[in-house]
Amino acid sequence: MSRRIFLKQSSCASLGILLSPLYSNAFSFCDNKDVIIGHNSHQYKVNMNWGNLDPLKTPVKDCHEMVQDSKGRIVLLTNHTKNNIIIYDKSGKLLETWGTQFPGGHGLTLCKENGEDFLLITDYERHQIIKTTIDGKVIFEIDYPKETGKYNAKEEFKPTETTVLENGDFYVADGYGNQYILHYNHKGELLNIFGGRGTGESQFLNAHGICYDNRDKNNPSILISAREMNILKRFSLDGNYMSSIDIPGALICRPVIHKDHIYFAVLKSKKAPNSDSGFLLIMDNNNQVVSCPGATAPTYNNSNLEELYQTIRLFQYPHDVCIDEDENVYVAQWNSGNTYPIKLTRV
Amino acid sequence: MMLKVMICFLAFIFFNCKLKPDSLFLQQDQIQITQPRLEATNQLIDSIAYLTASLKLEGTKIYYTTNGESPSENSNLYTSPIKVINPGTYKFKAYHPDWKESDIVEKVFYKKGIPIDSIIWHSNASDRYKGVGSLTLNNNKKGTVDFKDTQWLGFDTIAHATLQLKIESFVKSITIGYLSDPGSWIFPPAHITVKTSVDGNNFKKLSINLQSIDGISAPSLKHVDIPIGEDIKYVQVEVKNVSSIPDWHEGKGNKAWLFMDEWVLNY
Repeated sequence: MSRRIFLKQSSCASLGILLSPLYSNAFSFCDNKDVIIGHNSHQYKVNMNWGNLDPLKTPVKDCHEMVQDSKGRIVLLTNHTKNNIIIYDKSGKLLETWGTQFPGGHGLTLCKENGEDFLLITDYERHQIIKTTIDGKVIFEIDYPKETGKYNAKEEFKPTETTVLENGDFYVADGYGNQYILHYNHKGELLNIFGGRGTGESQFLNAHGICYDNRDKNNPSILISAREMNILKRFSLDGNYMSSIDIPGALICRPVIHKDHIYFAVLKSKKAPNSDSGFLLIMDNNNQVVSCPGATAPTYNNSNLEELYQTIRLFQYPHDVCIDEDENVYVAQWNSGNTYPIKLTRV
Repeated sequence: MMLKVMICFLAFIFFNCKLKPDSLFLQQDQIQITQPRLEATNQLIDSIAYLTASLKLEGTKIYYTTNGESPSENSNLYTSPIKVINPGTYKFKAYHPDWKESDIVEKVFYKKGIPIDSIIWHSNASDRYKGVGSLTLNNNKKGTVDFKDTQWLGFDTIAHATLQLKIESFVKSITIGYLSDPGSWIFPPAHITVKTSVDGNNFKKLSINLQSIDGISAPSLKHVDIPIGEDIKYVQVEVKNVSSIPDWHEGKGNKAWLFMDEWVLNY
């Protein structure tokens, strides 16, 4: 039995839950309600204080991405060069920090090789992808793919994300640059390049995130978010366009697959009156949106998803999500007043 | 036994009441709901426009005013699209029993102006923000708070044009519509010069300065009215914003954008 189910069962059985409606009617002076966000199967309470640190000692700028390593630790990448990597335990306690060389640290992906953890970091200011050990030793650095002829200068290469296959091959999304998707083998040798800027089926505007989707073991593929277009695109491993999923109104960051669901931070709502209008989005195993914490309930009209938008001003600019084994979600935010990540506890 | 249960119960209440304010989790009354979304069929009216307000969050009620005052729960309750006949400012606010009320959001309706026959540009809009052609400023369609909306003309610090009417007409004032979105490096005008003429040779000049901004604010649609009060055929308008982005902004020292939409000649 997972910890979450155990907690649910034990708390339901407790006196507390049984009495609490009665008590809140009778004693309305203390009827504060915990925020619960999300819809259907995926609902959460919100802990804003998780991971808060002393900004003088361990500062953050943008909190770009988070992953959980093999030891269960939560690894955060920020573009603050005092401590680009901040490692927490799940309770939000600081364990260690490292990294001062990633002024444009943006993409963070965990890869495991022979039982050892490594990180792939993209830096759009260094115009590089950097592979490190989990404690920060650099394994290799990859520069812009000059040999492809698709780039005139390194400044055109601003990689935002990576994803890794079981065999060690990895893909890079150049989401702030020329919008190409690059396929490398585990040694960092370029095998393929596809995509590019444009509005065609196989092209992108802001190819911000990329994720290896092996939920269907017989037909693995690559999911790529075209954030500006509010579209999630699916490509074959050899770079051929397969299909698209429209997500109206949602500027989706990278897809994050946890079990058979896909989780997204949504940077902002497309036509919001306030610009800090982000929320989260969760798709089920059929790629149907089932929950949008902080936003409108997902509704389908003749299998078309209706436009989604922020309804409560909880998140500012969510940029990435990380889901732990208890189904709790950690949210890293961009441009949100140097705030630390938020933890959501699934209820 | 009964006594024990009672004690447990009271202890529970006490414990819980004490604990609640220090809950680990965020409380609902600390969080605001978003502003209602407004959509108007038309913002420059010559007959009728319809204004729709919505916020798809169960339990939300939207209230509005038409007299410029801030809405409260005593104002008009929004139930269906509003028929707008007169120019004016419509302000909306959303309320919810559990969450904090929203900020106010407003929509301004203008009277449709005198049609402009031609616009001659002396400064060019950026290729990235060149609107929908030469009459973008006078096509009776307002840009939205999204600067990527195709109704906006984006300039590199100066928008300068001569407007020509078909025939000499009485113009009460000119309304210059602009976008303020300092977070996206789009600054409001600092200085506007309006020159008017009957014959296209002799111009009468009027200049105004606008108050500068001193911090980031949410994107908003703004306008300024400049009185004319004469029979004229030509209007030359020069709008300038800050020469460089001020020190408090991340883009300090760089050029700021100037975004224009709908210049209305009122009669």
